[in-house]
Amino acid sequence: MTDTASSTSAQDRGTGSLPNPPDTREAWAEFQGLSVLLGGRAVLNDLNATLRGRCIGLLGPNGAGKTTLLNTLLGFFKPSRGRARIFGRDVVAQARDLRRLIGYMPERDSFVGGMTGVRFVRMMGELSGLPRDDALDRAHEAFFHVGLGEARYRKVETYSQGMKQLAKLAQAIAHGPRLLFLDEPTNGLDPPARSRMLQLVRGIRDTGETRLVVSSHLLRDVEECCDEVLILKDGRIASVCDLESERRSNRKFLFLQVKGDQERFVEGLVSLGCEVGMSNRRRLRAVLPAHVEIADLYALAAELSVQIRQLDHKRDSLEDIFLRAMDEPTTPEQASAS
Amino acid sequence: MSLREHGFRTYAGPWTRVITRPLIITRYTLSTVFSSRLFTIFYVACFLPSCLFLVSIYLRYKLDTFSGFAGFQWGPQATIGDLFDDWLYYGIQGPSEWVAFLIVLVVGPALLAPDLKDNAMPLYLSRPLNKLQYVLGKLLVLLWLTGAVTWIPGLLLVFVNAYYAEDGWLLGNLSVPLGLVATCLVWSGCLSIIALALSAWVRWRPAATLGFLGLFVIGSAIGNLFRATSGDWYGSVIILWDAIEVVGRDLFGAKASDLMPLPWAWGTLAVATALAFWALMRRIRAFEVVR
Repeated sequence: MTDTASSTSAQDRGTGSLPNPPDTREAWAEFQGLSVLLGGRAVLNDLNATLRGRCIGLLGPNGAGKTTLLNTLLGFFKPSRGRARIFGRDVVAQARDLRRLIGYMPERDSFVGGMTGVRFVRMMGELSGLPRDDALDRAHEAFFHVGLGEARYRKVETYSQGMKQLAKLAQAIAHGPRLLFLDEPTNGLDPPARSRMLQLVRGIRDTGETRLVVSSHLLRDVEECCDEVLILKDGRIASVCDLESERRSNRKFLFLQVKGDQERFVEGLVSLGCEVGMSNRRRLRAVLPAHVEIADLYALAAELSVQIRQLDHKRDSLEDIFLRAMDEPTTPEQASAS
Repeated sequence: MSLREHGFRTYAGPWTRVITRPLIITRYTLSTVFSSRLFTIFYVACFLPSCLFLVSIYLRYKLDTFSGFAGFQWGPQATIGDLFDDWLYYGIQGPSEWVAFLIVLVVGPALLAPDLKDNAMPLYLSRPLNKLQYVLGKLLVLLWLTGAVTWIPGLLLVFVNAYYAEDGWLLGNLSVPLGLVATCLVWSGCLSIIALALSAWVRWRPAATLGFLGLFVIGSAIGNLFRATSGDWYGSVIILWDAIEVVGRDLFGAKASDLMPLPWAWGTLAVATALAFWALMRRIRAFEVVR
């Protein structure tokens, strides 16, 4: 039943302008003092953030509020205070309009029993607003895309755990959403299936047309597909960081082992503008300024007839960022206590 | 090699109206319901009372001897009260109430329980669909199933009767088709919401079916016991069958029943429906909140 009536409101008819594929660093989500109370307990507390990444990793220990944040953005929970906007739309006031643009893959097993996979995804597509024929076409496409093409006529309840995860992804992407929420997408998957899932996530991210929010407690999963992370701790934001720039900023963090006149080499490094420390008698730790390249170190070593026997290029891993965020206080009380 | 696209792409085509979304749920659920051959046979059998009554209308007018043999008192000149008591009520309304009850008993408990058991609610409610629309979609399944075997054939029977009867019979007895439709809708609506509420709270289908049956059987037993011991009508307020009969007679324009006063009958149906609806809406949510 396709829209033709001109009298219907744009929102009802679903012909309201869709957000264009966003610029790479354009802000698409904004939280302003977002707080959510559940059962009298503050599960999310005064979140303030602006998200710009193509794929946001939502990290935090169990109970930090990751799923609650997703549910709030989906309109399942109403904020007790503050507000959140996605693509410029308020998640409460414009929830229905927003949901058309969102695909959601829940953490737990979720499906409609008694249906074949393709029928299930078709129904979900229609409920998102696709006309019947388009929904059928896209349900088939989604199944092929996630690699379940051969199993699409099987009943969903007969799928294995990995297949159910993929079917959940298929129903989330069938209507071509502009924003995809993936809650623990690799839950219960064996290594090949996990790798496949992450490959699919990266594939969707790389189209540049859809933003993703991946909630996970697996740092490696987030590191493999996200370019920005939002770390939650006790319902508060512990850190928001752009992984790419973090990686870039720590690119020249080096451990060196040299043979020869180490003191002169250290003086040379300092004259180049490096910060140098001795981690032990034979091992140097150097942080290179932006204008110094590793090749300059080799040139210096050659000039001083010093052999560089070992050079470890270390960068901050997501684990370092996460652990640092966990150590940092998120409230003034914690800050004063520490 | 597949002819399908394998890549992810966003959708830029037309969107359907939000108001049509409950009908999508209705359509898919009906399709699932009729995928059971056993249910389809049962459903076809539900048309049997209407078919038998259609034959009886034909015989009533075509075979004078049959009329005398069956002892029917009704004729075109009869009053509405005679009409109701002796013929139309027992021919159309009575079976309709039972058929509606049986259909809701068989289908109702299976409508919500699987979705809740399979955790499908986040999938439904993360789309442009609210829980009221979801419930409406499921409710329409029961209203469609019951309507197709109760008031729709019932109206047909009334029109067939009007065709055979004297000119002006239908205009003179307009409360019969209107009462038939209204009574069936009230009864089906009440039963459906109670069944959906049970389906939402008792997620195991056999238990929900037993619960639905028990609600009526035990309710009737207690009500009748109370009525028998106290000697007045108060026991009827927990018997939905009595309430719908009183309401049905009123809507048909037939003589009033002494089972209970009319306002109490309406009140019984309204309170039962409202309580069930309240319980149902409390249960339909995307996520459980652990307190």
